[in-house]
Amino acid sequence: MSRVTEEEIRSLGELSRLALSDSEVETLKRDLESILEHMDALAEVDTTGVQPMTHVLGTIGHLRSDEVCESLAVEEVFAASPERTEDCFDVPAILPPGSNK
Amino acid sequence: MSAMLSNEKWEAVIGLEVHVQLATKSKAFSASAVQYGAAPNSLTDPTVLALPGSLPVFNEEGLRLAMRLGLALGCTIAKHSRFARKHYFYPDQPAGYQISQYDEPICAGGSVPILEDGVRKEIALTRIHLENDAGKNNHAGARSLVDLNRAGVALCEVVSEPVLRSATEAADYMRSLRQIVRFLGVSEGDMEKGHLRCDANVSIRPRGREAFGTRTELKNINSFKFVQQAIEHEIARQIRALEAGETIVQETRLWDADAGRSRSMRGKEEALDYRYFPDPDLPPLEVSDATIEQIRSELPELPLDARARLIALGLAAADAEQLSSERRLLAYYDATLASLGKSNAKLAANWVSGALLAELGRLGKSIGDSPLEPARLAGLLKLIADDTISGKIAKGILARMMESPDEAKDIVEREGLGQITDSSALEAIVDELLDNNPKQVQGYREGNQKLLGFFVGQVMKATGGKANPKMVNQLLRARLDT
Repeated sequence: MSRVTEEEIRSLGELSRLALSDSEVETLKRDLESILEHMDALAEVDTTGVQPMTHVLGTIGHLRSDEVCESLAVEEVFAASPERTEDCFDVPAILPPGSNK
Repeated sequence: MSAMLSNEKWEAVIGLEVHVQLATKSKAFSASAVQYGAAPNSLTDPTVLALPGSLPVFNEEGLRLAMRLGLALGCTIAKHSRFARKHYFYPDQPAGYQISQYDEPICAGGSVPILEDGVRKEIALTRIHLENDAGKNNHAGARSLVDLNRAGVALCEVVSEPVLRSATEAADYMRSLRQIVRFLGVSEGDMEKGHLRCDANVSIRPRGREAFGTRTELKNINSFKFVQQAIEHEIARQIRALEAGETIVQETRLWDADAGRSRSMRGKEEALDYRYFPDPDLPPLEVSDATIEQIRSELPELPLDARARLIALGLAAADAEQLSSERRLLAYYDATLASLGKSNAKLAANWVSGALLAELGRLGKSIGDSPLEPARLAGLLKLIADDTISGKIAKGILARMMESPDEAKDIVEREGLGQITDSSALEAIVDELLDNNPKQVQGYREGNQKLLGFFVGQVMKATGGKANPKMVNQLLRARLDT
């Protein structure tokens, strides 16, 4: 039984801004299915009374005080940027997220 | 037009999400400065730019401010909350996700008070959660220029229940929220700088029906005027559509302030899947009862509570509203009253909201840096209250006290500005006046009562405004009415 549809893979690809070829869609579909199977195996463990762990470290309440440090120099900011205009990142015109033109 | 008529039949259901910029010096998760109008991309750091290896650490002041707002609004503070990643790609969001709170926000419940025809009404909140801001995009034709100075700034999102029923109520709610965050110092609340930004969820339903209609989300409504306009426009649009037999499409619409209308941004089928999950970079937030109680104990009186207190002192609603509109103005008024005594609450209200603010306006100063301190103003007002000087003389003295450190009573003594309360001196002036104006005296005695004002004016003129008006009136009536 296929639990992941091709459509779901393509939609995830789009959300992740990944251009997937047909064969990649097929591969990812197989991979995800086996990942889900592994999750099923994990789900068989009885976790009654066990607190969910979202963080490996026990650190709790680690905060920083509201102090300002020097900013990164503008030259460093743009060191890895392909396009720069007037000290701004120059990108193709932004459309509202999700809008299809 | 049709919208106005239809309001009898349709009811609007509105919920607002207001993003409030917290007044922290540094960003939510890193130490670059928060500052408006700085040179583009001059306020960044590796975390803001999401450079590999950088890690976010939350700003304790951001947490304190969000809890302060939550406690002031009667929210329940979560002793355990956590951050989640909200994923979407956009050039102003270098990480590819926003750090927000999803299933465990810092505050739940609570309400924002508004005034409806002078009566307090509570607008219920769903939650308040913490998140970071995105950068700013300047659109230039086929290109967009991205400035990341604002990226990473600490925000809290105040989410109301869908309990607002009109565009006016929504705008009032936003005004009240702004006033409260300014009172609390939680945010500078500067609308021009985008410190409060609002999204509105709007639907309509036939009056009396319980179930909600299909809602649309309006984005980008960032002033009180636009909140009102955009929601009014959306309600009318939905009513027109339903009355024409169409159905409302669940969608996100962008308010175009220049065109005065909204346009569709994305439909339900294009709705983003944010794929929230707990941010593994950030440990959960734990807050102790002691911290919560400490913050609660530091809360100031809120504007509408102050308004009610001032009305109870005998102030007119409009005066009470004005004096409680701003924290420093209220503090000034209260300090004046502390020196003057509560029995003169109205006198103090008139002078603080009237002559004092006018003088400050003339000098281009705000109440916070008034050169005339509350105690000295109270000294001046005492002289009015005990009839030592007239209001008119007091106005002149007030203007001079703005520019000198002198006490009112010293100025009055030095310059002999005290009212003439010696009745024999006033009697002589009144007698002379009546002798010199027989025609007016006759006119008054024949029934033209208005002429009394003329005589009072003449006495005041002759005494340089120093005559006690009450005494002048009595003397004149005694002479004229016999």
